[in-house]
Amino acid sequence: MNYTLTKNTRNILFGMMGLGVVGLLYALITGIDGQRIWANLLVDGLFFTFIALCGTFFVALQYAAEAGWSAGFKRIPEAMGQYLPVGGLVVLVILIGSALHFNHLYHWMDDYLIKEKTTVQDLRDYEASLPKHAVHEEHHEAAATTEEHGHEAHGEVAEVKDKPEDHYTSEAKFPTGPEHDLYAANYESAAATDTIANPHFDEVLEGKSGYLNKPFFFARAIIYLLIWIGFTLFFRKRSLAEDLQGDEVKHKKNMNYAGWFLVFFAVTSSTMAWDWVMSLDPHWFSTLFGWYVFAGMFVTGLTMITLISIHLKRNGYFQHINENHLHDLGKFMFAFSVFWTYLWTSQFLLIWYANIPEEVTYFMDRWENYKFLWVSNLVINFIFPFLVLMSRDAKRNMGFLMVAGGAIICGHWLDVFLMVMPGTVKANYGIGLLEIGLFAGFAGLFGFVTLTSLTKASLVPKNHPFLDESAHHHV
Amino acid sequence: MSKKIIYGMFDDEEILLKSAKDLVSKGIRIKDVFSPFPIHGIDPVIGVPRTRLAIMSFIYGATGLSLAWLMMGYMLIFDWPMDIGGKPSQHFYMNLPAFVPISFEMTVFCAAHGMALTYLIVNRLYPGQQPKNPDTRTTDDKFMVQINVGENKKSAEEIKSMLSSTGATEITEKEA
Repeated sequence: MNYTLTKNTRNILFGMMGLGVVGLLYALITGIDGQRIWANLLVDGLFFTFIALCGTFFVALQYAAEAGWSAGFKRIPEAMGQYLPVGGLVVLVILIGSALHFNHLYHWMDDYLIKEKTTVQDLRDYEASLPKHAVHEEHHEAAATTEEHGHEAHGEVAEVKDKPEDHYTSEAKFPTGPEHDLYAANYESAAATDTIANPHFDEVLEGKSGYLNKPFFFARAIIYLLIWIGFTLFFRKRSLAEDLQGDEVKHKKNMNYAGWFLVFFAVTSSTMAWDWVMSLDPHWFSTLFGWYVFAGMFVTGLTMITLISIHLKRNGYFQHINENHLHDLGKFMFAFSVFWTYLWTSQFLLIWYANIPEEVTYFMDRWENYKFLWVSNLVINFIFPFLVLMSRDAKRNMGFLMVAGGAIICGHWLDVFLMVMPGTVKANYGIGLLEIGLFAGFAGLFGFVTLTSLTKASLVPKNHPFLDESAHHHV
Repeated sequence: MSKKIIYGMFDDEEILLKSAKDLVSKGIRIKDVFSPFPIHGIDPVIGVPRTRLAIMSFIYGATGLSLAWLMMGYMLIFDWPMDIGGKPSQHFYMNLPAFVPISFEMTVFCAAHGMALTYLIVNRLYPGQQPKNPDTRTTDDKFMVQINVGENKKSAEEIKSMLSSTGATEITEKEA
């Protein structure tokens, strides 16, 4: 039986996409800072790309583990993966936009910051080019340099009223922009061609430039996306071909291919998290960040599979998927919510305990400006699903799964929001029509792509060797 | 009222499961099943209610969490405020991250031990307890159903013939 996208569902999805466009237009008309719009696009671009990626990961995982229970609904993760080319393109456009300085999401992409020496002319040009609201976490040494040269930087703080209050980075003491052309004043006597020490030089970024440089960064991004999308389409093609074939040859080989994908995914899910998310705070690092991002995206992906299964069941499809399958999906949601919390705590606890300035700034950013959302993140993603999904009956009940699932989807969107925003816009954020609209818009787009690709093939795979096992799954 | 007990021995748990379903559908009440390992799906067939151990586990876990917080709050915040990594210690929440591992451990400790002890007590597995297993072979490779004739409307002979026709290899009768 094939799934048909009803007019009603389609209208809802288009309505959500419309809300996204409205949110974007609203932001452009009311003059919301461009950086905030870009950052929001990145949040939603990444969030739904992660979900799509987890679709493919789930398919590969089930192949490699020779899992039988999931055979009945494997079209759902396959369909989710079909969003990967769209989402990947969105992310890539944002990354390229950053490299071309349309936005300043990736601070380290500013080549000027890793030049130790500069000419006075270059310095003037650079400072004139700085956008007024751009957030620059100047390195402390840069601030120290100004002190040495005896500038009265402190006297000028009062003029930067439009900027957010900022007590722990040097930004407040270090106004930038053409109206604060401190260095030019100092080097008035110097000729424009004289070479001087670059006051914007950032030793940390220079040290990381072997990995964080634009050519390597984009080479990596393109390799990740090409191979992920390649595997997604490859698995999909083989799965559809299997429907027409009467034997298990394809399935046996899938196990092999899935293994290769998992190896690649194991490495790239971490490096992708460093590249696309952690480098938004380029002075900070956390060694388990890749796993943290993975845990968040896997629980979101599993929740999305559950919610789409429920959608199909409620519309009369998927009679072979019963509460036993939902129970296992619910267990997955519960378990990976706990797993995410475990990694969240592991990351936070050590940084909080050690209290080393270079590490703790990451959480200070969040605590100072995002306190409510930051605490909500734990409540929505841990305490709520933990209590709601704890009992067996709840995991076998579609209503409970939908309530917990909705919370997990919104909560992990908030998690990605909290990963992206502080490093890109500091306190200059909000949860308004822009944020909600873009979230709804991307959700609509994701839903449309996923559900459309569900219509293109039989909902129940044919000739899958474990289909019978899946139908009799019992827990 | 007859106090006879009938034991039907089976070689395979699949056959036992089928037989049990058949007997139950004919109105026979199966008192118990003895097996060397848990038989998947037998519980609803013979009418064993779902275990409430999970509820107890939640209560034990919540107790453990409360005990852990009470202990740490009293010792490290109230009675003798401790300097934990240079953090302020006037309030419990200020040092909460440091308490997470112990909270977790105490929760798990109490839930696990509480569950294990509850299981042993509910099943009356005290030290020195005599085995109640009617046939020691059911701890090795045999499977057995126990039917109390007094609980059924059918006669002992009828039950015996039903058992043997559904695959029991050995049927014994005992006066309780």
